[in-house]
Amino acid sequence: MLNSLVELVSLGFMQRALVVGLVVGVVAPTIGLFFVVRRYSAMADTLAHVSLAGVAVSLLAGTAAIPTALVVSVVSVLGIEQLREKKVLSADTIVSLFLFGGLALGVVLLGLAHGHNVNIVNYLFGNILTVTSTDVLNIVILGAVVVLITMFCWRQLFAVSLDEDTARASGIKVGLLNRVLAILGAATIAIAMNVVGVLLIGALMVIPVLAAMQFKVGFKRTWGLATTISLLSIVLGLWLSYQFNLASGGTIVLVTIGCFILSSIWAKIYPVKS
Amino acid sequence: MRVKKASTIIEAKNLSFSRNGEEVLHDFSFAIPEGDYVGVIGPNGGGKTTLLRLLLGLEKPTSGSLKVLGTVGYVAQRGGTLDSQFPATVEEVVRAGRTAKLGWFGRWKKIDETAVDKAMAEMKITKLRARPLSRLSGGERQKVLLARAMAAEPQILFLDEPVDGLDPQSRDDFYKLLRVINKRRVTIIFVSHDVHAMTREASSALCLKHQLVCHGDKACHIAGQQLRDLFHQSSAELLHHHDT
Repeated sequence: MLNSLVELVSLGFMQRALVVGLVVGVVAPTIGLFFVVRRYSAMADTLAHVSLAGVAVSLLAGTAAIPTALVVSVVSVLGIEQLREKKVLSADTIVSLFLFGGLALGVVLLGLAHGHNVNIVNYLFGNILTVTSTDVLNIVILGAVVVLITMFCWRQLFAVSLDEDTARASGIKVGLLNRVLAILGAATIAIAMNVVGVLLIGALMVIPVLAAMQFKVGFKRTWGLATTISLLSIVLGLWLSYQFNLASGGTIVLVTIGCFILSSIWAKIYPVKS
Repeated sequence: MRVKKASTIIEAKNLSFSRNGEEVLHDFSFAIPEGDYVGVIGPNGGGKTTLLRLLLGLEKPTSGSLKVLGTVGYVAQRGGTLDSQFPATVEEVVRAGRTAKLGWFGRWKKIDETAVDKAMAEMKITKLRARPLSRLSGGERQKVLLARAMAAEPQILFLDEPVDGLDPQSRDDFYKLLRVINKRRVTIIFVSHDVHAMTREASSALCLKHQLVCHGDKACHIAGQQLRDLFHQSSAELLHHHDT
């Protein structure tokens, strides 16, 4: 296994894949943790579907996929938050409308972009092995920005996630923080799109967090565990996909599910003492 | 010796609130002095929680004015929107009480650590500091939420039926803690449907059923028939000794 790992990291495309994988491995559970504890998990899927429409727009407009997908999902997410705050419709209805609307728009626009030599499968299911050096640079910069903003807002995001009413009553800017979190979610999806594809991004944000939550520890320790599980899953998933010629995105997500099952069993046998 | 008159910390003038075209609170006017312990009582659906949400700034009045002059702490009914499975330790939850005070750029200092330690010591939960929320009893959980509110060193403490669902011992412990807090001149606004407990614990009462029935001394002068109309119960069951 060691030889095969050495061989793996010596390959240029695999080095790029590993860098991107490690960035996603930190960013996805960091934002995912706040999404899960706030019961925003459906939002991750919605943003992913909307970003597919963004990819389609980029193909038609001839712009770069990641920045265009990011702009489209940020605009959508601000619309979702605005409607949610105004209580025009129930939160579930708003999220469903954007989820299916985004997917439908993406399909229609991709149909129009048919003559543009589109490899739609890469966007739907991801292919981390095809990332270019430019992608790596974009992903590293965007990932660093997401992590820095999250760290800066960590205390406020935690208080709002814990209990929105109490946070609002104490004077914390809940509306602003909800929008910041939603934009960070959109950025995370733009970053992770190449790794697992829009259909599986939600899994990478949510499953490592759910696995970590099985241990019933504090917030910071849950984040540490989720990030470790996510990084392990990505590295192991990449290695398995390379060794057995499997689809990388699907393999990574299957490994995270395996980690979730193992964590559940482990936490039951060896509960963390407090 | 001259006794200093307590200044008004909460003032409502002609306050009304409607939801979906239905008037929940009608033309409320009252003033609460600093250091008071007010029991807000009334029947279920009478607008107690709505009044509290208005005082907390979580809802906006349809008409009238409202002044809340001081930093606030809040303990919701059964933890409010807080999920009992939320992955956080007792200490993390109590520390969250300092967030608004620190603002965006404030750094965690010794003074913050002291406030958190003091709040946990006062609620007798220091030993539980590393325990996750999901492993607490109902009584312990409410003490943690009270500690979070107190960590902010509030001038006004709002409580929405905080002892609901607790066993008698935990209720007594909770009431004892509130007495100690009130002695430090922290104004307490306690929403409850337990008229008996409020008669015993609070220093004044605010009775409401969509409109203000009475406000002032807890033995506020409302007739027995009015009380029966308020709660749809016999006054003997209420154990609230209003003059007739």
